[in-house]
Amino acid sequence: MNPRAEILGHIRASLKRGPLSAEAARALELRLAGAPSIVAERAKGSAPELLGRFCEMAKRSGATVALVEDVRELGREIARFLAQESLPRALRMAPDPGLDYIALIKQTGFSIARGGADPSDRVGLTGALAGIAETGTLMLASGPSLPMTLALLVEAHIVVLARAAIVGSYEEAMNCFRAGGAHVLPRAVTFITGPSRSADIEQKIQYGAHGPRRLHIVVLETSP
Amino acid sequence: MRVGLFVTCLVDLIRPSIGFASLRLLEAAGCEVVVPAMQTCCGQPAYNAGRRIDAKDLAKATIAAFEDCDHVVAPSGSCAAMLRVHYPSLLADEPDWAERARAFAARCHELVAFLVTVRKMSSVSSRLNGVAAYHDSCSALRELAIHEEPRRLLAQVEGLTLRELGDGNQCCGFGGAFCVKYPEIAARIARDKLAAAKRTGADMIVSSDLGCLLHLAGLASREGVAISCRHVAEVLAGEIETPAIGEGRR
Amino acid sequence: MSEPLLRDFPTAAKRALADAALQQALANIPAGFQEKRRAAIARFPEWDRLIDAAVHIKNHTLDHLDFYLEAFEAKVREAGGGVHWCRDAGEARDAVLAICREAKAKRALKSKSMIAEEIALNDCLEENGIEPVETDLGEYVLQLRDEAPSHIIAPIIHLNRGQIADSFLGAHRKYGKTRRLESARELLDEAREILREKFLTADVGITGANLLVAETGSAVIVTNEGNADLTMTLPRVHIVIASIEKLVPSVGDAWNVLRLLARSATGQDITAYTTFVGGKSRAGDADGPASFHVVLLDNGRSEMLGSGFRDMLRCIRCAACMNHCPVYGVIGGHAYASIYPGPMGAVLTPWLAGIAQAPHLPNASTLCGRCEEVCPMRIPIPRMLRLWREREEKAGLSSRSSRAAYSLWAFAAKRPRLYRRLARLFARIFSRMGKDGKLRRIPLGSAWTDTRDFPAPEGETFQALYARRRKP
Repeated sequence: MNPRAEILGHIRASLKRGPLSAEAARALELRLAGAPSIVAERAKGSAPELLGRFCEMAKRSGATVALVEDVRELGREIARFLAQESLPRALRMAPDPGLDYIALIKQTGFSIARGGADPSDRVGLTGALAGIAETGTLMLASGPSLPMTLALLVEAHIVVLARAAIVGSYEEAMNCFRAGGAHVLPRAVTFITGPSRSADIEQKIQYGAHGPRRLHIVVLETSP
Repeated sequence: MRVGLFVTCLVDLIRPSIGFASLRLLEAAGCEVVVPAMQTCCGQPAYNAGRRIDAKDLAKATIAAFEDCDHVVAPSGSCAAMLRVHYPSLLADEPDWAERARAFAARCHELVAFLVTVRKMSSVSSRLNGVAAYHDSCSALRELAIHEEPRRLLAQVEGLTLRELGDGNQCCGFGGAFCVKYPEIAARIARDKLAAAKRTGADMIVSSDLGCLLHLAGLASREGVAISCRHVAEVLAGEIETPAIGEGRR
Repeated sequence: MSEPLLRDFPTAAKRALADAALQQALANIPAGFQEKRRAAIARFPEWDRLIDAAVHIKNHTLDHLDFYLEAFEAKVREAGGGVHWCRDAGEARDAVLAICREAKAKRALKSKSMIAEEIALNDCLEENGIEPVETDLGEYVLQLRDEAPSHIIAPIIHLNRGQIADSFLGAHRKYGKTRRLESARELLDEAREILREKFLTADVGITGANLLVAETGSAVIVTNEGNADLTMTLPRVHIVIASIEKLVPSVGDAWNVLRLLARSATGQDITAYTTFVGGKSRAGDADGPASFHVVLLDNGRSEMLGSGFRDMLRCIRCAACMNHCPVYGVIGGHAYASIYPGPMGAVLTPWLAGIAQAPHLPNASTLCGRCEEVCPMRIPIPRMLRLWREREEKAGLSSRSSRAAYSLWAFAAKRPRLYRRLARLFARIFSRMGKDGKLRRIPLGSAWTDTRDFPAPEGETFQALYARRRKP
């Protein structure tokens, strides 16, 4: 017997039954589209409350957060961050058309190259599909616009997040992938909460294990 | 109210004063107490060793010995848990005994939990000068959910200051056969427990289980740690004439 | 370093108790893992409801595991991935090897996987000319030291900075590093630098999976470092290796479990990186592998499903049990001689290795119940430890002297009159042997008196005294 048949056979033998009836299978298929989740209190609230909670939770996770009104303020904030962290005034930005406007900001004091991260790139800038207030988490997804190296190989990861993209829970964020009930996901959906870290050495947290040491989230009030 | 005192084999063999203290407390609480002569052991050693048949035989004998009592009370968290929590599952596969065991278990209690919850005892008239840390035995705490009851009554003992161990209710390392199968591990866990007691400034550990107390007192004695061990029944009944566990006459 | 034998638990435990460096490392657990978990739960009022839901989800999934595995497989295939069903460790190793050979792989990145350890994958890869590179910092250090992990989520909890520095000094010389590093920061930075080169030049990335999601054919992988995301993205082949009980039905079910996992494990609300991944790179994607495979491992799980140990299949590998175990807390993980130590290991290891290979593990427990109390899947570990003890008894694995002692005791305990007479005898004898209220030595009782005094009995039994008091 082939391994697949044998394993399924053992499972059914342990459960003391044969294969499920078509009816039972149909009921389970319906369940696959998702049973209701428990929504935590901290994932609920008005838009201003969720914004406040997102910022609070993101900071708690070791990220830094800045709120900016518009595109020009965004440019200034990025420059300020780079200077503060003594980082080079050069960053690699995702080839995301939704970020094109950043490349158009005049006289920012920093240069932008597009594409995936080179090993020599120290700062990466990406967007995020959503910000999740529950834990100050960012949702990013693979696709033409996001080489994950920008979020992983760099020293500092800057994320530009539209204020309107902040939701309460992870499930709410992933609703954008629903296609008539069930989710249809891109290859990778990554939830990032704070900078990369390891506590493997004597159980003390150190930032920047493989991934970025700094995560800076800039919440943009008015998207262009 | 006819209460059967389940003495426990350790109390019977090693420290009867706990049994008499229990008697006094129960009588002060208005109970008519009987001590069935046919009781021997709750069967826990066999149960924990995987000797299911022996455990069942002892369970049946215990149930039979106490069947005419309204309640069965044991001055031990682990024995009370055996009777109350484990007898029903132990005998669940025997049609003649399943219901009998369930009915019996519902009438079984640890001593202090019985006094506080069933007899509504709210005060004691004993005195003991000292600083005591209360050690919740694992069975009393996790199997019987006993935590407030002994503290409520011990707070009434004149002259006694009660401290919390602050060790996250960690086990003392006795574990029945465990402490003789793996004595070095057991001793190390007990050492940590005594150190936690010392850190609170206590000179005494009080607990509901004689097994825990024998283990802790034995280690304290061997390693020269100045902590006395007493059973909660003795403290509440004012039985302080008896030297603490493992200590000689003064 | 050579590993202690599976059967030699008592010796290994004694050695661990005397290991000062280990003891110092273990002493961090109460203020570390225990306190962080407690604080995280205190901040999350929905905790108990979450556990209720998770237990229900897992039980439901196990009751329909065949359906969900097939649904999962269909989705993976739909996304252009391969699914390999493996009955045992050998088949799983063969499956991974075949994929690596087809890809002409020379170097394989690995992000932390207990299943990869369970099937001894690294040795197999090396024997076949493929260099496995552990990317999880702890696993990387273990790889350098040729040492086994001692904890399922903090694999080098038993090591201090100095020991890690020594290992780096030895292993990194060939990269031109000759300075012995001092701080954790320096160690981390050097590991990051050296592993970067490996990340960029590997052919295959092998990850484990914390969960498998049937609805979408995804593996869910959580890390704090981000190494799994690099491992699953940079090389041209991504292999997920996971055991069959990792399934949950839907994305929402996955989040229910994920909300429990990090809080139970490290006291974080969520790990820094949590990724749902499935399939190869899609047309137009900026990155990702050209091929994707899931290796599904049974290795005894399908049989466990029908056994008295079925509840163990709900385990999400959070390590809360071992973080709260009084025994693990003083002997550490290596003494268990298994990649699965502590309470969950004491149940799982005998199943995987056979109880005759690990006879001590279910016995080296006081049955204190703290593991069950903290388990976010309500796994009744003490009950299953007792079940193992029953199996050992039936299989005649307990020592002859132990069995004889219990038989004598049971004989007496079932005969009340005999019991009372013997009890009176022992009470009198041992009372007389006592000095200042204790015995320093008991004949045949060295198992107690080697480490402790024994409080002397009062001299008479309660039953005898009570009977006398009742007679006027």
